[in-house]
Amino acid sequence: MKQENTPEKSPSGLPGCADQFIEAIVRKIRYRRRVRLEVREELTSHFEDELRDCTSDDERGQKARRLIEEFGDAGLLAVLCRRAKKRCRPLWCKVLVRSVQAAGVLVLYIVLCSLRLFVGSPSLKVDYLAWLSDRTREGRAESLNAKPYFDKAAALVRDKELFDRGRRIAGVRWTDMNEPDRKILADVAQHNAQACEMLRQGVTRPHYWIEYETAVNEPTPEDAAGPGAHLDSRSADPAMAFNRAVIISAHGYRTLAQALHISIAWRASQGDISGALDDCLVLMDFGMHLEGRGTETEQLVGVAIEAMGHSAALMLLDHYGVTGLNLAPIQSRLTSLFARHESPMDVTGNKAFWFALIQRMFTDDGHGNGHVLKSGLGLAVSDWRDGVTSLLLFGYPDRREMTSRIETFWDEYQLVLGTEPCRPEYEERRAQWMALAQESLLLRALAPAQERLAALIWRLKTGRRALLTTLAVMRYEKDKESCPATLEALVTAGYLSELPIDPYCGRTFGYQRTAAGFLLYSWGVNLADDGGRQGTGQNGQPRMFADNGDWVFWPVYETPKPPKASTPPSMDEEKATEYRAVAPLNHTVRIERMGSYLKLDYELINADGKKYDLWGISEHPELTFSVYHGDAKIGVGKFEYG
Amino acid sequence: MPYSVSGELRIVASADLGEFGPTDGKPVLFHFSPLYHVQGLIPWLLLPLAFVALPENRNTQVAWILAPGAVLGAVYWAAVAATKPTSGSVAQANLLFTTIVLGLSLVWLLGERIGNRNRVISFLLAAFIYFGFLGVNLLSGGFNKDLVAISFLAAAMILPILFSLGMAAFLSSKRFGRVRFAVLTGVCLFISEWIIFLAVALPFDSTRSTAAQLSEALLVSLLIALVCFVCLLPFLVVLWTNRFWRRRFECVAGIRADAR
Repeated sequence: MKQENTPEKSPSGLPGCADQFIEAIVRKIRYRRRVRLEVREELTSHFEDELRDCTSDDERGQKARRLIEEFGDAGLLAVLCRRAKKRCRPLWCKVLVRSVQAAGVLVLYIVLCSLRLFVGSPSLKVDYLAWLSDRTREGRAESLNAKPYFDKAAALVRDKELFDRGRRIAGVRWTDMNEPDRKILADVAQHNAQACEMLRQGVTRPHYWIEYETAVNEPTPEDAAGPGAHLDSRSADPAMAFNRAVIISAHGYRTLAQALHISIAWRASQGDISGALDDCLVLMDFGMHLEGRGTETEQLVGVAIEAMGHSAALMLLDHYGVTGLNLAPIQSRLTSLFARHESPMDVTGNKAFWFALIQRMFTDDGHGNGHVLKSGLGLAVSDWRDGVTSLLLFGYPDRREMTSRIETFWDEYQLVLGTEPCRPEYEERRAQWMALAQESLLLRALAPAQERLAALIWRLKTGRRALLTTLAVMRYEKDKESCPATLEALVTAGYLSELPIDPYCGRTFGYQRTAAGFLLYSWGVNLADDGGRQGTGQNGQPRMFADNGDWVFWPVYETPKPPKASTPPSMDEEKATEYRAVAPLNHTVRIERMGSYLKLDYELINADGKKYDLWGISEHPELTFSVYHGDAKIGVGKFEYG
Repeated sequence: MPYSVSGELRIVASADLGEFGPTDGKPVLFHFSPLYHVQGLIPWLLLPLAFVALPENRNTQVAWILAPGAVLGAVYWAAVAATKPTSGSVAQANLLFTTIVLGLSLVWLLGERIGNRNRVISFLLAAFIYFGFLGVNLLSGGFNKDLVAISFLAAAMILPILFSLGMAAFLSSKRFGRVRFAVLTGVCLFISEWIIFLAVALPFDSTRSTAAQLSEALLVSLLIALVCFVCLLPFLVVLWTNRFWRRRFECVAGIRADAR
């Protein structure tokens, strides 16, 4: 009230009430400091102009109060000032502000949209390892399971350190072997006789299954030093659990198969060709027990073991001939074996794995549905565009849809596995399956490996059919003392009930009579008849299952002789042959400048500039470089791997 | 390359190939122009330029800002000599070290220009200078895919360094204490590093559990925050103990720093 009676002068020279009024407006503007200063200056100037003609302080005070009354409420005036200042901003400023606001709204929207990915937790209700066990066992009695026998046999395997060498020797003719090699073969075969016998007993059991949920906690060799992992098969990471459940047996079975393979070679070298051939069938049967059910890893081990059996059988027939052998029962047993295990690959295990993943990556609403969590983004989106669109439109597939997609993906894959590559519908089915793979980043990443696996399965099936055909031709030749003119003669003469079909041409295998006997081949993956010309590898040497020629099953391609002494000890024989074919190799350096640094990348090349791997020659190469300026060596250094 | 060397260089790779080829490869020629040395020096030339071109830096006291760089450089080279990393790793670490330490020196040398403003504006200007210096570093190193990862790491260190200085200045605007400021800087460094690593790890790494990612980000950010803090500390010591630099610190941070 004091100010109304005795007007005070402020530092600006205005009456106190005017100054307070201006201060109130400036405070209530609540905008940038610069704008507030401007408003203060403008209002101060306005009051100064209006009060200039006043002669006394009283008059100035009264006029100031009148002006304040005319201005009205300070708060309202502050709002109006703020609006006016905002309206008068330059265009660039308005654009900038609106852009920032728009970006802010967008960020807020994205944050809101992505919240859903972080809200909720998975409900791990189903133990998919147990689910898979139920489906592979199908309620059979434990006495029908070959697994205990296989496990016992695997535990009895000895001399594993000799297997790499022994396996290579097993493909060499007895007459081509030196004395130390023969000793290795004999030692491995004799020391593993018990393991092989146990395996022979095992294959008489008709089925094989693993209790995955129990196997997951069996100690691995890595656990030997420590307490080992104790996984709850329901809640553990599926990638780890599914791998752990089969890794022990898979590793043991591989060495067991190698032991039998070496034993077959030894038995044959001792003149027991018939017994060795029987063991080839045991080896194939062993592989087939692992095929067609369970996890993909087990089935792949089975495929590799069966292929080892095919190769061993063909090698025996090639090295030792068929004199004195009764091939009819062998052919009959093989026919029955192949019929019993017609499909080497089943995708139930794959489905179980992916369902377990979905269970961990999606929430559960209690009715079989749920929404995706952030860990499931790789599964739910197909690429970054889809990821952005799904995020902005809440368009992620729900749990039910994802489960259905996975089911369809694997069902379609099973169809691809069951369709012969030469058939017109093969490409169509493959394209359909690939289209399904494109719907998910993870499936898309998986698809190439699954394609190679499908090719592997068809390679195995081709091998089966070729082996049966070869046996029939050999029986014919033995009985009639000449090879049949055509394969059809085998059916006419009763050696085959029907002719096996080459999956890569849709007709019977390629067949020719030759001076040395006969030639039997498949058209191979190029789906073209190359007249029985074996495809070649990168080194130009004939290679089985190459994609640039036929796959010749008979005569058997001769295994290269053991490596020369000059080859580095760590180098495997196949690689040495490849490198020898392209020698001399040369070192070169690719130089890239980074400012004042030079980055040197080492390359090992042949005369055509093709790159090779130095680490293929030596595991620990001493790889150095020297830098010369004129004739002076100005620096030396070592290349670092990676 | 040593600075005395330029012109035609011959580089010969050697390894024992046994029967597959000769031990020494054919020489590969490379012309190393003297200008390449200059290109590598450009980031270093920016510092003397800031001394010469800016009138406020024409003062002998300004040279004290080089002291933290010298101390940290000595520690860095001792660490390199002790651990003997590969030459490729050294090139990358050099870029990181140069960017963080010289970049910070440059920011303070331009302090008069970025200070006396709203703190956000000062922060943005400092970030502009710091990232500009990173860009110059990358270009002078012949922008290369090998340097991309390390430049991301540099960016993930620059932002927290500036942010933590800004936050510490803001929180100390009413009550300043050197220890308090240093502690606030350290805490803000750690928190901002953690946020950055979470922001990088959470959306892109969907294979592991959130708890595992959180703890991993915690460890990484703790380590990097510690490195950043060690880089910052000598600068803070100079800024608080030297009268000239204290004045500049006050101008940039907008606080009175004569308290202890």
